[in-house]
Amino acid sequence: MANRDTHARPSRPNTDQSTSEAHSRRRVLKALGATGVAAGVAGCLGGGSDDSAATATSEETSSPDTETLQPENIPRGGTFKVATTSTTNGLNAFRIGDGETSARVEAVMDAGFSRTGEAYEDILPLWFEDFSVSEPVDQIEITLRDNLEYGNGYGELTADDYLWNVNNLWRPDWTAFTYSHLFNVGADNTPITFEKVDKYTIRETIPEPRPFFPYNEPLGGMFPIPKALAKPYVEAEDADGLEQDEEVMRAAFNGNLGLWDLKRWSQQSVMAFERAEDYYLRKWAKRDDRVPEVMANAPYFDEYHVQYFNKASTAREALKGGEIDRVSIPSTDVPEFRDQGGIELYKNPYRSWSGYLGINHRANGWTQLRNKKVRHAMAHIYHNEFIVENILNGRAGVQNTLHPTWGPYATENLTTFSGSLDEARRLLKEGTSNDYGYSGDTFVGPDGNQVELTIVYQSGQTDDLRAAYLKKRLGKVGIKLNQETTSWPNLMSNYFKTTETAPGFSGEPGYGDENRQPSDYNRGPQDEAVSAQPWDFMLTLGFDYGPNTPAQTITNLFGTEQSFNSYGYAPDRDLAGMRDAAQTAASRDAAKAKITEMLEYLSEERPVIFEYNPYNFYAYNDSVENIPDSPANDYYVEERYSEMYFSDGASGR
Amino acid sequence: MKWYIVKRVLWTFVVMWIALTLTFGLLVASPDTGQTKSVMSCSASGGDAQQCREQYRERQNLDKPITERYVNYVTNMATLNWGWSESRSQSVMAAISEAWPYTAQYAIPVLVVSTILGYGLGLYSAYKPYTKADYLGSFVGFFGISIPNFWFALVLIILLGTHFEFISTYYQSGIPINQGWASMANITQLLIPSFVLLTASLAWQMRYSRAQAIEQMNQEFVKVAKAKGASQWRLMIHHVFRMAAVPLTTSFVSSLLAIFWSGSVIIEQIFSIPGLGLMTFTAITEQDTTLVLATTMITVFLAIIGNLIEDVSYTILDPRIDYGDR
Repeated sequence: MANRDTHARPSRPNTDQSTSEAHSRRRVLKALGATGVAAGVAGCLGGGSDDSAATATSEETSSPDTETLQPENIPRGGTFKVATTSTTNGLNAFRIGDGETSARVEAVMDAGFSRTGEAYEDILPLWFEDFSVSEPVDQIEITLRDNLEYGNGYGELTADDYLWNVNNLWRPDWTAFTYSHLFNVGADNTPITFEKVDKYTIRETIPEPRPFFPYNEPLGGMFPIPKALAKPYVEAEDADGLEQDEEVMRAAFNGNLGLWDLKRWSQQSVMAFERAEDYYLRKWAKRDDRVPEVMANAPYFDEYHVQYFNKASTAREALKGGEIDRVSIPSTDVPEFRDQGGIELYKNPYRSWSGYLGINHRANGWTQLRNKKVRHAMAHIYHNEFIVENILNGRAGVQNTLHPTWGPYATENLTTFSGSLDEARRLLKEGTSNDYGYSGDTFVGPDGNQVELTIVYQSGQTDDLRAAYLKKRLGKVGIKLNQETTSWPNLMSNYFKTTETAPGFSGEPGYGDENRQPSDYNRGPQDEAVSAQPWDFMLTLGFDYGPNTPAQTITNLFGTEQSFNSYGYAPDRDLAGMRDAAQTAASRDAAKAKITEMLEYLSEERPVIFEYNPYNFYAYNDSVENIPDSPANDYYVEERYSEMYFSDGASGR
Repeated sequence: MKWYIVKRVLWTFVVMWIALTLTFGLLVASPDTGQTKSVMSCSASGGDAQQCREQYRERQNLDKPITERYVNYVTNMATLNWGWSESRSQSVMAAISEAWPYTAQYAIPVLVVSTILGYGLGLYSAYKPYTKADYLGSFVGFFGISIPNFWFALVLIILLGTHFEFISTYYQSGIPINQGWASMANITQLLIPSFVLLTASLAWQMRYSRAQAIEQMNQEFVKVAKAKGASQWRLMIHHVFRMAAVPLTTSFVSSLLAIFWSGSVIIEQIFSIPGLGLMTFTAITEQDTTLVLATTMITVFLAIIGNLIEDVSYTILDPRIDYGDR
């Protein structure tokens, strides 16, 4: 479901996003990433931070000019195998909750369109032949192509199917559909109106113009389930039944709607797809100038396999051995693969993920961290430029706010820190309460003992180094750091969730008189709700989001009563109000000023210590042709497996 | 003897019930990841967290009294309705029945080979202690015990898979389905995983059987048999091994379970074999409670039945052991 990127959710660290995800994930982000409704708490160990400086040689590649290569001349055949370290819930379009599942569903079903640029009209039309945005932006009309067919006798996919799904599956409470919020707009959750214009056309209307609506509109990323298939479950309000239906889980109704058909799924092993023989888009590749001509015969592999590896290292060995055709490469392995024969590296510096040092502002953290001066001291101590240069080997962009360095709202006017320990000591003295201070070189607390802080993270090559760096630097300013490593589920359950009532607080945690609890990650104010385990700093967990509208991400993560403000940060400005102002601005340009203001505010506040946005690297078997030019030159470049082929028409070993 | 077996079988049900009750207690006490996910999704969509939690609890029958839930749980387990695995998107029974052949196809041969070879080499070493052959056997034994499985497996993958391209670097689950479980291609791709698993289990069996055999060889009855002119073969197999097998048998079930739950977990992770080991490991790391409980129950069941078989086999191996009056 494309919409996953518009919706915040925790996920485990994953440096090895390896399926068609890079291909489909981008499609998803482009389709709906602009909603920016905090895309997902995506923990990431190093997150694919890769070497920009060291990538000047074999990472710069160019693909054959497929515009001059006619589809009928492209060799067809072979099995294209990609490695993944992520498991999936099958092809369940009704229950997409993670990127991997979304990518797999998109293998068998295209969505409405894929975004190819920032402008509203910058799209690659897939199921939608037309996507028209009104001026002012309060109405969108979509027109479906006329050759979309479900399989298994469910008939044609038309406007009626979309509308039936909106009313019976995507909106009702009983289905607990993950992306139901996308069918409303604004702080007061005003429903979007959907009308059938004709058999293939739907009109979406919102009550007042919103410049980001074309990015947020929900239908472009949805996969309607055939009415006849879902109807018995709808009548019984049986969400579990629908979720566990074999046809739904395997998307067996996909008909001609996607590039591939599911051939075999062996859990925790392989998901094998075979080329769809009657793919609807082939016809349009010859008639629609917006569809690349190469799609006329796509895909060019007979089969496409997503092979699960529990160990990423084994997956990389499989690539070296010629048994896998694509795998994700961690930043530390880039030099090794760069020098390896038979492999082509693809670098993508455009990843909308932010890595940072989380700070616990809640009652079971060091409360002095609530003071901005202390956080500024930490930004000197834990110096992001040093980390990017020396731990990530320059394979990332330095972030000073919650926005990628290449993002559309990137601004120069951000607060930066020099990494001066003298300055850090001064800020520590000034920022902490009077009963803190230095005794010689040791920073002591009210009890006269050295201040001891705790960092928690999931052990991994990069995070171990980041934690060690913090420990060393804190030691230099007289503070002791204890390191705690844990698993990802435990990190989420016992540290990121605020399941406990704060010591000294009696009563039910929550905001306001009604004790509103936005989510398990923020069950109340910093002095009422805390995590099960105490902590001061956290690594591993970062945020993935759509870069075009960061306002919602910022609000969700750092707003007072917002779902993912697990940190307990209490801003002195109304972030939700600023977000609403941005989202209802007259135009995107008008919104930019407000978004920039939010980003600069965060930069100055440093509710967490912002660090970096990573670069991603992927290694391909060099018999695979038509890989995009490396490095990718913008965020909208996709690795389209549908346009790739084997040079000799057959897979390797 | 028959009465003893009947009593033990009946006792099995009691133990299983205790295990079920304990696991139910753990289930109630452990965090519900389904609830976490559901509430998180719901609240991220703008829903009220408390209301979302209540809706989930109602859907999962968690709002019912604990006694009612306990009865339902035990009934479901007894009727093999073991629930839905979130990590695999299939029923627990389907997950287990899909995974076990992948483990059994190499674990059973490894168990058989390691037992025959391990005991055989152990007896031989005991028969000729402190000779070159014994030292070689000891070296192989200590090597197998000492070398970490995961490291050994990775080295073999890099060497034989990546460098020489003799073997596949990972297990291809399509081969047994398309070409048959007993096909040469499937057997070939299982050779290295089996070999790695064999090194550890063989070593352990060999060292243990050697120690037991040496102890038996100094017994009076062996000396008597030797004095009466028994051949070396008869001496070792009929007298020494038979007696040494009694203590060896006690470790058989534990070694079987060790292969499944330690060796298999590592081997299947490294070689990407979609068997019980990988399934269980993933279920634990993804907090798929229903699947973890099911695999726990299977382990308990195997342990109980295995111990019963062990106890019965004592009477066959050593006629002096008799449960007749128990």
